[in-house]
Amino acid sequence: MTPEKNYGEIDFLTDERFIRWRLFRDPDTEAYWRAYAESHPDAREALESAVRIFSAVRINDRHMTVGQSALLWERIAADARRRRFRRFTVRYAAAACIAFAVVSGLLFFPHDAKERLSAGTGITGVVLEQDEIRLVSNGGVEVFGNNACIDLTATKAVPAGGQPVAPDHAESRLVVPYGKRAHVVLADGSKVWVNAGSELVFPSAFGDGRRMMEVVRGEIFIDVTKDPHRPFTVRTPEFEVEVLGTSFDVSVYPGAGNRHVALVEGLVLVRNGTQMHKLSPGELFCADAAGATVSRPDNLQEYCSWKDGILVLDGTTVSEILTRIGRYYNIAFSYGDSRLASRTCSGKLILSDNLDDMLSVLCSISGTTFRKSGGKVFINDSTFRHTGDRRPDPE
Amino acid sequence: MGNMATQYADLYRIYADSLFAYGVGLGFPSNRCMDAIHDVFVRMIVSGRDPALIGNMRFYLLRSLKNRLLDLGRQDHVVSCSMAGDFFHTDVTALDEMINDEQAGLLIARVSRLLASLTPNQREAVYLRYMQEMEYDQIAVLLGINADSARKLVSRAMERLRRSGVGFFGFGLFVCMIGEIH
Repeated sequence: MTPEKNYGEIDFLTDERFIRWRLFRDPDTEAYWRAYAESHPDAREALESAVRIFSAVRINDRHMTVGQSALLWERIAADARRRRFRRFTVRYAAAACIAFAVVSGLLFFPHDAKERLSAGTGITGVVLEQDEIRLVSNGGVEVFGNNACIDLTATKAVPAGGQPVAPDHAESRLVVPYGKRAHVVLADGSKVWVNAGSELVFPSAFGDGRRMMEVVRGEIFIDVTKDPHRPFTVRTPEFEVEVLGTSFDVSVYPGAGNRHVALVEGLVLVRNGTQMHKLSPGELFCADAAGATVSRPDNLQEYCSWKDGILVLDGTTVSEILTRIGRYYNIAFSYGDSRLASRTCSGKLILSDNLDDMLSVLCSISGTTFRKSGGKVFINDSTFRHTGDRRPDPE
Repeated sequence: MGNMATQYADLYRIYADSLFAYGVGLGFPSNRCMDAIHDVFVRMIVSGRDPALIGNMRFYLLRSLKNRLLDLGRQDHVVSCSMAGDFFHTDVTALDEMINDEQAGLLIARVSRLLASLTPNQREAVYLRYMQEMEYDQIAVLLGINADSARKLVSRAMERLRRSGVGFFGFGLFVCMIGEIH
C-alpha cells in the first residue's frame, strides 16, 4: 500500500461530494464520479477502495434477535395456516394435527394489594410497582427487561439490550411478574410464550426420557417440538397435561375460580388427580370445587389470543376482562359495589404497550369512561343516570 | 403448494429484518413493528398470491408494512409522529469487518451530521435509497408524494449540503451554527 493510495482513500472519504454520491446515488453525482474516474485513472484504485469502505456504513441497522425472529415466523405460519384452514377445511383437515390447549386455573388470589380501595359505584384500579423478569439458576439470578427472549437451544439467553448469558445448570426458574411478558425457547426447540404473573421451572437440557417442565403459577402457550420417543408433560400444582408433540396453552393463575383446558386441534390428556380426561379439538375442560366437566364453547380463541397481544372477547364480563388486563399491566382493580363488573362485551382488545390507548378502547366498547389520577384508574358508567342507590364517584 | 410455502419462508428470512428496521426508523416500538410484519406476511400467504408475480418484492413489502403500521396506529387511536410525516429516526453504524476504527468513527460522525441537517422526509428518502436501494419513483410512493417531488426532495437535500460550504469542515460549522440558533 503506497502512501499516495492511502492518502487518496481518506481524501475521498472526507469529501462531502463523495459522501453525497454514495448516499443519494442520483444521476448527477453518478455522472460526476464516472467522469472523474475517466479523467483520473491513477486515482481510480483509491476511489474504488473508498467506495468499498463506505459500504460499511449502515443506517438503522436494527434487527430482531434470533429468538424473536423465529417466534414471529412461527406466529405467521400458524396464523396463515389457521386462516387457510378455515378456507379449505376439508382439504386440510387430514393434514392438521396440531393441538392447542388452554388450561386456565385460579388457585390463589391474584394480587396482594387487592383490598377494597373505594366505596364508590365505579371500578378503581391501582397501578402497582413494576418488578423485573428474573431467571434463577445455580449460576445466580439474571434480570431481564420486558418481552425478553431466553433461548436455550443456543445455550444462551439474550436480555433486552444486554450481553448473552449462558445458563450452565440443570434447572432454571423463570419468574415473570405482572405487567411483563417473556419468550423461552427450550433446549428441544419447543417455544414458550410466557404471560404476565408466571413462574416456570424447566431444565436447561432434556434427557432421553420424558420431557418435563412445570408451571408453578401463571399461563404459558407452548408449541412443543415433535418427538414421539420423548413425550412432553407440563406439570402444574393441580394437574398434568400430557402431549405427544403439539401446541397447547397452560394457565394456573393463583386466585379464586375454576381452571380449564381448551383444545383447539389435536390430542391432549389432562390428568387431574386420579381422573384422566382425553380432549378432542374444540373441547373445554373445566375444573372447580364442584368437579370437572367437559364442554364445547363457541369461541376458543378467547383463551389463547393473549399470546398475540390480543384479548378476544365474546360475551366476556368486565370483571373477567379487568382481571386479565390487571395481570397484563400490573393493576389491581377493585369493584366497589359496582354493577359495571357484570356488564359483558364482545370484540377484540389489542393489548398495546400504552395503557391509556387500551383503556380508551375498552371503555368505548363497554359503555364506560375512565380517568387516571395519582397511580389509580377509575372506571365509571358513561350512561350513568343518577338514581337514589348510587353514590357519586369518590374523587 | 409446498414449494410456495418454502418461498414465503425464504422471503421472511430475506426481508424480515429490513422491514423491522424500516418500522423502527418510522418511530414505532419494536413490538408494533413485529405485529405489522406478522400481518403483512399472513395477508400475503393467505391471499395465495404467487410471490414470483410480485414485481419488486422489497418495495411491495416496505409499502405494505408502512400502510399496515399506519392502519394499526389508527385502529388503536394512537397518533404516531410518523403519520404526519414529520419523524424519521436515523442511527448510523459501521460494519466492523469492512473498516478500521478510525475510518468508522470518521464516517459515522460525518454521515450522522449530514442526516441530522435534513428534514425527516429527506432522511427517510436517503434511508430508502441507501439501505433499501429504492428507485426515486418507489421512494415517492412510500413517502406519498409524486416522483417529481421525490427527485426535488433529494436535490434540495443536496443543495442544503452544498450551500453549507465547500468541504465538510464548512458543513460541520454550518451544523454548529444551526445548533446555536436553535
